Amino acid sequence: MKHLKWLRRLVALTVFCATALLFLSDGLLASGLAKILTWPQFAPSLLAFCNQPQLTALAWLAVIILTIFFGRIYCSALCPLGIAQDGATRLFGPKKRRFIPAIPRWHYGIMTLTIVTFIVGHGLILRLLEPFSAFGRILNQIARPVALALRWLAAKILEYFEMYLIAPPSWPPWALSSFAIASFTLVLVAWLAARHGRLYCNSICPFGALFGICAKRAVFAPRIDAAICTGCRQCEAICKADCINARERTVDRSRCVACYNCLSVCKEGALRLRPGQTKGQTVLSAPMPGGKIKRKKPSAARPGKPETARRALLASLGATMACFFLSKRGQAAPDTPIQVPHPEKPTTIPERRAHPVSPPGSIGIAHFTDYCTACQLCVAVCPSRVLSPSLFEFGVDSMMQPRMDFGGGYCAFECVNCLEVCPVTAILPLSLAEKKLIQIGVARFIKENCVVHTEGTACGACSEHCPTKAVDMVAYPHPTKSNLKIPEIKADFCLGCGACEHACPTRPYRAIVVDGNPIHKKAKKPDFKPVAAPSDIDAFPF
Amino acid sequence: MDRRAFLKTACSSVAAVSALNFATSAAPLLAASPLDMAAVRGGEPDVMFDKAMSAFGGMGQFVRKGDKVLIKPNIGWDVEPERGGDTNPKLVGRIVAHCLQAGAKEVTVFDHTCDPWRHCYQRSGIERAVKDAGGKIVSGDSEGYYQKIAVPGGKRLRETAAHELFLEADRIINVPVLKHHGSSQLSIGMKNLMGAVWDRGYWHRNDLHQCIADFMSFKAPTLTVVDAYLVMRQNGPRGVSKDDVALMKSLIVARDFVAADAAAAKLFGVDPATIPHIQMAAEMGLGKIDLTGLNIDRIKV
Repeated sequence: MKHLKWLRRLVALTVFCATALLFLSDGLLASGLAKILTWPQFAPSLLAFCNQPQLTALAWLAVIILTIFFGRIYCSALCPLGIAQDGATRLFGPKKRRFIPAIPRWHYGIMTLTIVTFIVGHGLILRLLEPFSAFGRILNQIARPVALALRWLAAKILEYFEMYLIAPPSWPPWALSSFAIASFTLVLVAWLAARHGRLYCNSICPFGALFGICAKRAVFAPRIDAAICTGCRQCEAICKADCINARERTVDRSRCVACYNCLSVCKEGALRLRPGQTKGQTVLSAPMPGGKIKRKKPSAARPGKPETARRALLASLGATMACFFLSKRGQAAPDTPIQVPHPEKPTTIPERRAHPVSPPGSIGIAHFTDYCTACQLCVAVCPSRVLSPSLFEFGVDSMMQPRMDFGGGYCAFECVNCLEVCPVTAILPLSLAEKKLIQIGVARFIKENCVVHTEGTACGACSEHCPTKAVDMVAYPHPTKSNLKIPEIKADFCLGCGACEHACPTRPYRAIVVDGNPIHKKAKKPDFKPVAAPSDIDAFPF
Repeated sequence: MDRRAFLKTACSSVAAVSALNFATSAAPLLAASPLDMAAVRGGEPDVMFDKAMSAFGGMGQFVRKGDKVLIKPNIGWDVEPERGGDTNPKLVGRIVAHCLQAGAKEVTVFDHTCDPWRHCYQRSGIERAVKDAGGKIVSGDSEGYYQKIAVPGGKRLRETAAHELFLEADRIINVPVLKHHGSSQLSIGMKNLMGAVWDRGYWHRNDLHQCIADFMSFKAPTLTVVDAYLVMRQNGPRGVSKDDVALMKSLIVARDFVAADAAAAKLFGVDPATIPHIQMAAEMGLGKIDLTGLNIDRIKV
């Protein structure tokens, strides 16, 4: 029993380091590690299941069952934000802690607000509070720049000695809102953890509230054996959830995160995980020194009506599921184009993108923004730096959800990193062959901006980069120059990868721009005649 | 940078370049072999390079003991070697081996790729080939490696930022792959050295052909090795599928980079004078577009 703490620590440390590695390794370790690590993450798993109900996406159910029987092991060993808080508590927290009564009304209120707003179609609160995503943003927005700076420093030192083993990294585009929110989350969570242990989990995290309800009657969760307890209160002093009331000899199992520190600290072995009483935290207390045996009701120690809140929760959870399945049925299939007001052919110089572009595999903007929790793992593993957290391009509610930013890069033709890692399947795990035919947008040529037109000099950077030659070069009659070619777009073959837009050299406005497809379409496969084999294989033409 | 500082840098780089040009051109003049160009057809890339080197009298003609050698292949695209988008990896590996055998202190290889650099280095097979041959493969994707230089001989390109390995190398071996190109008509040697600078957009905005020729006036490669084994004849420079390439089994090795490009253009079936950057470079006196006066060894394998 006493060694359970070490087992928990080992698992937690492994999960924490692997998650950090996943976000900080530039996608080198992405696909395999992401699948293993993100699979048991509760909210992503639940959303993935709602998106595609299949057995492999049932991790969320496993977590619920685990919590019902063993308490909130998830919060201690699998939730990276929870593990990070333990680090802050350990470093900055008080040496001696004491019991604090729960604040269930507030906590269940946040949970209900999160669920209700999500159901009516505003997922921002969920995205802000969901722990995996919040932690992902902290890694991506704060830890990653630090890691890149260290790598840059290492590269520069090696370069001084003429060693080129480490390449100085290129910087990802700055994403203001995501950085600000990640910084705020970091400061808030770290401060709460330092001052009050797991208070974030027990007063803000909507999933913490849910797990609290599940764990309230956990069979194998710590409790105090009043017959053995000497009342030394060391367990209360070490409890990071502040949920052990040693005076009353109760453990609030709904707030206990199953860290098992109390099991280790109790010299008498009075704290155990044993199945026994099932009536909430009611215990038969042995008398405190000089006290009197009495039976305590939980309502006296804890205000609020959790039973009602639980019913509300179950109802909303049911409603959430119903909403998802119903909304799925009504959703347009990816191949069916919806009517969008076609943008006017611009005659002015600014690009004026008709729609923002969502990543390939995300079916369309609506599907993507519905499911994405803005954990930004896709941003962290994108090798071409094209995925970038949005500001308000998808709408205020969707801020922080990644978009394709062709100023930073373009979608690499041979790459499926983001499709492989998305934990909520906001980006579906399609194969490379399928991805190569997804049209996420269509390039539009603005001749008035093109250097071939304005300068009469050769360019073609757009066509060079085009993987399907949807942007081709055709003869361009120019009054003074001969032999000029100018881009021409064959929209059927365009994938909207943005290679042309990224490469276009004109400034401040580019001469070619990708308008997003609100619902992705299927592009035609390029079909070119094979070149003729040369006949004069042995001749020298000079 | 104030004017005085600028003039100083400009003068010193002119001096450095002319000293280097003298050093690089003096070696072949003093050497016994008067050969200007070796053109080989009908073999595998590495075998053809061996033949060309024997014709020149060995890599020792170009690389001396203790030299820092830069090999600059085309690794621009994340495509397999069969697609002809990047220089043949067997050829690059063999050149690294020849340089090391000639006593080079170190042989480095990089390209400022278009597609994500790690993917390009890997899928092209060049990273593996270079490492196996004992060379160093270096990132060209890091802006920190690029240093500002003045291009005194340039008409449109007056300054740019070039990779420090390109600037520091004692010998540069330019190893382009011959292919069709949507912007510059053909991509051969001069176009390939566009991958040694950071900001290519500037070139595209400011008369691409002139900038290509201008940059060549800054530092000439010791040797140009044109890989024309698999030649992309349409949809260049990236290509769409294997249908874009033809097996031509050819290799051109030349001291004069303009002549190398001219010969490769002819091999492709195009008059080099119709490719503006080749014509411009010739007019700037950087090399010969007319191959008639050159001593060329034509080898069939």
